[in-house]
Amino acid sequence: MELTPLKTKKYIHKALLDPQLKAAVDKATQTSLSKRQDKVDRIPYWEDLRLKANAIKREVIENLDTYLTQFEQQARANGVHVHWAQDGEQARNIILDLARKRDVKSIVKSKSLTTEEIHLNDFLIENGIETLETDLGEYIVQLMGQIPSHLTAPALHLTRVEIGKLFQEKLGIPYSEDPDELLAVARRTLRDKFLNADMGISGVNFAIASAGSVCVIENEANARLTVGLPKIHVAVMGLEKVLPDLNALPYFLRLLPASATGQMASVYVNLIAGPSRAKYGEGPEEMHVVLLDNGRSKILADPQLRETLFCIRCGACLNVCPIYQQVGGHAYGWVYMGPIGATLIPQYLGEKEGHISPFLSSLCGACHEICPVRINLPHHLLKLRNRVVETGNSPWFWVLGIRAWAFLAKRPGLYRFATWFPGKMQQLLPRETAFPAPGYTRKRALARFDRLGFRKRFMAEDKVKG
Amino acid sequence: MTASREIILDAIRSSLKVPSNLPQIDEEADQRIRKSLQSITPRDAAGRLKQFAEELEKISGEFVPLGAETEIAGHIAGVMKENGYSELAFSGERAKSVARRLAELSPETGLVDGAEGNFEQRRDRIARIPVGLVEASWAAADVASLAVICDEVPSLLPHYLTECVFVLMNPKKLLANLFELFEKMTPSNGTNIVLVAGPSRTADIEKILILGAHGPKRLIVFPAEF
Repeated sequence: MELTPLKTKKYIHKALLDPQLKAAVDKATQTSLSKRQDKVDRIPYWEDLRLKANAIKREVIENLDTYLTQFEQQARANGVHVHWAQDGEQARNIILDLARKRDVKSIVKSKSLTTEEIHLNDFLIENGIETLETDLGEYIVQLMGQIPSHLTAPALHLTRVEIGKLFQEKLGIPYSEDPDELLAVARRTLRDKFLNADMGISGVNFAIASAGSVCVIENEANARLTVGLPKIHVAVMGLEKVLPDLNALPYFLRLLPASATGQMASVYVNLIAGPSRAKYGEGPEEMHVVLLDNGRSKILADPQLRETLFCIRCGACLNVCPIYQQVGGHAYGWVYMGPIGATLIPQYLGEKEGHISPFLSSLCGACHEICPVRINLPHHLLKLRNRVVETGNSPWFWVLGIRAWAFLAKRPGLYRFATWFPGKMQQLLPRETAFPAPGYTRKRALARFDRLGFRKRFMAEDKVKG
Repeated sequence: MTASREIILDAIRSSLKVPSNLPQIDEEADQRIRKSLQSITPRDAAGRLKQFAEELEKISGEFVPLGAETEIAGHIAGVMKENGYSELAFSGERAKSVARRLAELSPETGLVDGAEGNFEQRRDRIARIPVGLVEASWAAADVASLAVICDEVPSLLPHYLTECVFVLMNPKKLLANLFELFEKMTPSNGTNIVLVAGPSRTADIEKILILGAHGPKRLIVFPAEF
C-alpha cells in the first residue's frame, strides 16, 4: 500500500464515506482515552512527570551531539557495532549488507515506526530475504499489504471479521472471527519463525547514553523473542531516542504505557546492553545499532520545532484529535499520523509534499494537553502552516481567496458592499436554501448568510452595551 | 560509515548553534514527584507486598502468598496436574531447589535445567515446555514489575518461552516504585535487564484484551525469601 500525503484529500473523502472505519476508530480511540484517564487519575504526580520528561528531553535534544557520542562510545565498549545512516537508503543498505555477509535468509521484526519510515520490510523482501513482522497488529497489516493506521495500534481500522477472512485466505485456516483463536494461529505460526530466524530487527524506544544500552518496550513478548533468539540483533534507532542515564528512564516508563495503552506499566521492558551470547550463553552473538538521521538534524535547526523531536510515539495525541477520530490514520498518507504526524510530515518530506498535513487540525489544543512530554503541537502546526505559505506551497485557490479578501479589507466601502451583497442575493433563493459552494456542499450544507450581516449586528450589539 | 558519522554530527552541531527559545523549565517538578511518591508509598514491607499483590492482580497476574519451598512446590504440582502439564523448565538456584521438591511430590514431572546444554538445543527444547519456574532479582510494588538482571540468572529462556511461568520474588528485594528500583539495582554497564509486569498480552484485534500473545499466558508470583 503506497500512500502519499499529496493525496490526503482523496483519502479523507474515502474515510468519511466508510462507516465501518469510523466505528472502529471511535471504539479504539474512546477505549484508549478512557483507560488512559483511569491510570492518570491514579498517579497524583502526573503533571510533574510531564514537566520532568519535557526537561529531560530538552536537555538531550539541546546537547544531542554530546549524548550520541557518549552512547556510541559506551555501546562500542559493550561490544555493539554502531552504524550511522544519513538517510533511509543508507540505513537499508547497511542492514542488507549485514544480512548478505552473514547469509541471512529470514528475519523477524518487532514493531518499529523508524523502520516503517524507511520502508525496510519491502526493501529486504525485494532483496530475497523473508522479513516478518511479529507484533500481532503489525503482522495483520503486513499480511493485508497495508501500513499501520495508528502509532501503537497498527490494525485499529480492521474488524475481527476482516482479520478472520485475511487469516483464512493467507494462512489457509478455517474461518474464525474469535480473537483468541486468531491470536493462537498467529502465535503458532510466528513461534516457528522466531526459532528459525537468522536475524532479529527491533526499533528502540530509548537509548541510555551513560550505559550504551537500548530499551525496547512491548506487551506481547515478540520483541523479547526478536532480540533474544536469533544470532544477530539489529536495532534501528532515530537519533532523538537517547536519554542521559538509567535514572531518567522511570519517568518515561510511567508516562509511555499510560499514554499509549492505558497501562500502569508495559509488560516487557528490555534493556539490552550488547550481544549476550558470549556473556550469558544465550541470545545474539552480534548486536548492531543503526543510528538514523533521515532529516532529524534538519528539524533541530528550528529552535521551536525541534520540540517535535521530543515525541515518544505514544499515540495519545491521535486518540484525542477530532480530525483523527473522523478519518483514521491512513488519511494522513504517511507512517506518522494524527497531530504529531501532521507536524512531522512536512518536516521530513518537505513543505511541497506535506503542504496539506499541518492543516489537518482544528487547533483545539487537546493534543498539547494530553502529550506526555508536553509538545506544543498547535503552536508547531501553526508555524508549519506559515512555512507552507512562505515557501509558496499553498494551493492557488487559497492564495487567490486570501488576496481577494486582503483587497477588500483595505477598502472599507467595498468590504461593506461585499459582506452585504450575498445576504441580499440570498433572498432570491427559496427559504432555508443556501448558496452552493462547489466541492464543499457536495456532502454538506453551507449555512445561510445572516440577514443583517456581521457589521450591522456588531454595531447594534455595541449600541445596546453602551 | 565514518564519513556519515561526521556529516551527521556536523549537521547536528550546526543546527544547535541556534539557541532554543522554548518556555522555561520548571526545575522543581522532580522534587514534587519525590514528595508525592513519599506520601503515597506504603511505609512497611507488609504494605509494599500488599500493594504489589493488588497491582499484580489488576494486570491479570496471580499472587500466591506462599514462601516455603514445600508449599510452593505443592502449589505448582496442583496447577500442573489441573492443566495436564508434564514438564517444567527452571532457571536459578532457588528455583532449582523448589524444582527438586516438586520432583519429590510429583516424580512423573519432567524437569529441565534452563541453563544446561548449548543455546540452540535449550531454545528449541524450552519452546516446547509449557511451564517455567524462575527468579526475579528485584521488584517494584507500585506497578507490580519484576526485574530480572541477566548477570544474576543462568537463563532467561524459561521466563518468556513457556506458557505458564512461576516466579520466586524475594520480598526483601521488593522496592516501593520504579524510581527506587533504578536507584537501587545499580547494574554495571553492559548488563542486560528485563522488567516484566504480568503475562504477555495484546489488544490488537478490536481492542479486546487477550493474554498470552507470544509469551506466557499466566504469571504466578510467590513471595519466597532467598
